[in-house]
Amino acid sequence: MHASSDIALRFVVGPDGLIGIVDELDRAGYEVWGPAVRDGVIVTRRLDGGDVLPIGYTVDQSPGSSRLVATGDRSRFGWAVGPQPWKPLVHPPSVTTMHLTQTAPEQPVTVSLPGRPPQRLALFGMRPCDLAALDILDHALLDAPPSPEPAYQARRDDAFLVVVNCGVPASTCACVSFGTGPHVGARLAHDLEITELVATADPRDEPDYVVTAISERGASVLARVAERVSTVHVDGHHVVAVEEQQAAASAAIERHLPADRMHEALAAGHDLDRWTVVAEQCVACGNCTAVCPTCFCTTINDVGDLSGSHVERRRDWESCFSLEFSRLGDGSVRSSVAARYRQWMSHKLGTWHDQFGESGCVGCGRCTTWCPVGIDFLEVAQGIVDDVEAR
Amino acid sequence: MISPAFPTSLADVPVPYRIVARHEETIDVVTLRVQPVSGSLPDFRPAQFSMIGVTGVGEVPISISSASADRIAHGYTLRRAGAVTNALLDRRIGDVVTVRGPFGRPWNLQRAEGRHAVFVAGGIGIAPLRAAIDDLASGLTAAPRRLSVLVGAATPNDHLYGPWLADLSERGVEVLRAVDRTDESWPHAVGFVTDLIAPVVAEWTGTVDVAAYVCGPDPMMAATIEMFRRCRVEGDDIEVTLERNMQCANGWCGHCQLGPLLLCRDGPVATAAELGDLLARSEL
Repeated sequence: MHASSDIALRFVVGPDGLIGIVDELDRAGYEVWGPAVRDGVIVTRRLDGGDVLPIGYTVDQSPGSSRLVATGDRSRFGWAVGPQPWKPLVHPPSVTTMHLTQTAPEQPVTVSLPGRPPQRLALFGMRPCDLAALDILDHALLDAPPSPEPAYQARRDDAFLVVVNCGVPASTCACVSFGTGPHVGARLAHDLEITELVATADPRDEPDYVVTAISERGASVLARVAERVSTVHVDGHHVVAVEEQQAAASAAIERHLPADRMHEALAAGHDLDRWTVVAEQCVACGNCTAVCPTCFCTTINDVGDLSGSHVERRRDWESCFSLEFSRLGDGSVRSSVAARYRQWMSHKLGTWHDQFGESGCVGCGRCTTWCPVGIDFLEVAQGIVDDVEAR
Repeated sequence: MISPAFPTSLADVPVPYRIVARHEETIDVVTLRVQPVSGSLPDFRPAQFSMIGVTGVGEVPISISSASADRIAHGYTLRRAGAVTNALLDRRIGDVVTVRGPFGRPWNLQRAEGRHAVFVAGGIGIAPLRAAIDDLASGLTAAPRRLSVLVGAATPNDHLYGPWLADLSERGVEVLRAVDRTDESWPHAVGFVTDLIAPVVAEWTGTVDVAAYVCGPDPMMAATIEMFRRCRVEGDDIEVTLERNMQCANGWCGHCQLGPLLLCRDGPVATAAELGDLLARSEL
């Protein structure tokens, strides 16, 4: 969706402007979620006000490693991504989809459905790659299936999206290869776009936040915020600073993947030895699929009471790394770890194109950072391309 | 019975069905006939499947094996294979099970109009073909100029639907059977069902004009496609029905992937052209 050209509301605000946005969304009835620090990582939590945003942190990421580092400045968004994507909010790890009751085998089964989630969600502080991931989930769960996935739809509908551009990419980031960052642009529908400009003269000064309304409702929220906090009109200096940040962040991303060649390479590379080599490292834990912002697979679990007559039917996250995932009557189709790793990568970068018309990867790097044995997803993917093209 | 308020897809909500008949096909295969407890029997097209389940145990995908003209009940033929199929087959006439469906892409039977329709089944793979064979044998969906049904099973005792196959023969349908192993009392062929293909297809003088429909285990279907290819039947002229771990049947859960295909959405029927070499790829 393209932003309509008449929305040109744009201000520079200070930290009180961020608080104002959160307060305004809260007042409008949204359940506002945003970043926080917990247990040494950036997580997503309910925001009671913008003042709970973590201040002065960055995150050093590399394969199998994530370290929270204090920067001494006043930045709120000096890190790329935490382990937890926004996925659990719109596609929760466990959803009760219905209750079934049958008191005896010859009695009818009655079905009751749970109520709608009470509040609309506001996602404050998404990264451009996270927004791209949400768009991919929309296609996979709402647009491509014969009918939309109702639990996702209930949470996703009307969600207010506040995207903060990325100024400090991690070493694991590869958004440029996938066209998903580090700045957002207006290509994908969202409501507000924020760029944090850290004070260059004295890092102890508060940053400037350039806030742009992308949607009509984003404009009305921003207009109300502007009535209560002091704002500065965006001038040429700010525009240049935003452009410079985008250029610097893009240049800082050193990791690249021939994303447009992956589909073909993976289709041709089914029998490569590399899968077996990776499987010698991979412990099939499923961390990569849990932190992936687009992995959507679920399993249906019926949880009964002791009598067996009342059943809670749940839709729980499932990973293609589990042996159960491909279970058929006579056993699992993908019994080897190599086959399961191949399924994960082939789906993400290859057959996602066949199924949904796009790549399933946004280049956020989470799968590599949070792999306990440090398997570098992009390195393996590049290896597949190299192996196939060397044949 | 269903409380609204939560946005839902009806395809996700199980419907109570009562078991009205139960027929033991072999030592571990049973056909259940079921009717909705209330409301009417939904239409289906051959090769479509439903998620049939027992409350508290779970659901399994089973194709409808009764004729599409049968407006009284739907037939589901199941083999005891796990917790859910065991629970289903332990249910008795009068008991209530749950059904969601029908789902999926059916056979393209119009393709058989005026041509030689050849059905090839391995084991319980005859079940998803049965409704299609009934349709064509009665000229319901299309009128093939010739109809052949080739059925393979491990042993004579594993052959399903004996009376029905005999009835088809009586009505002029060519029915050929094979078993992998047997004793001297077996009057039909011994060997793989794929061995029956070439004689039947090549027997037709003139242009080979076959519309093939295949269901069985993956290796059997791969071998069948290869045998047809040697008989100059390939591409869109062969349809197979595929099985993977279907759970939601709505294209949401990701379980039923076969490479590029999401089988509950894109299948279970696929043409040999669409399938390419997918069945030959190990652990796909």
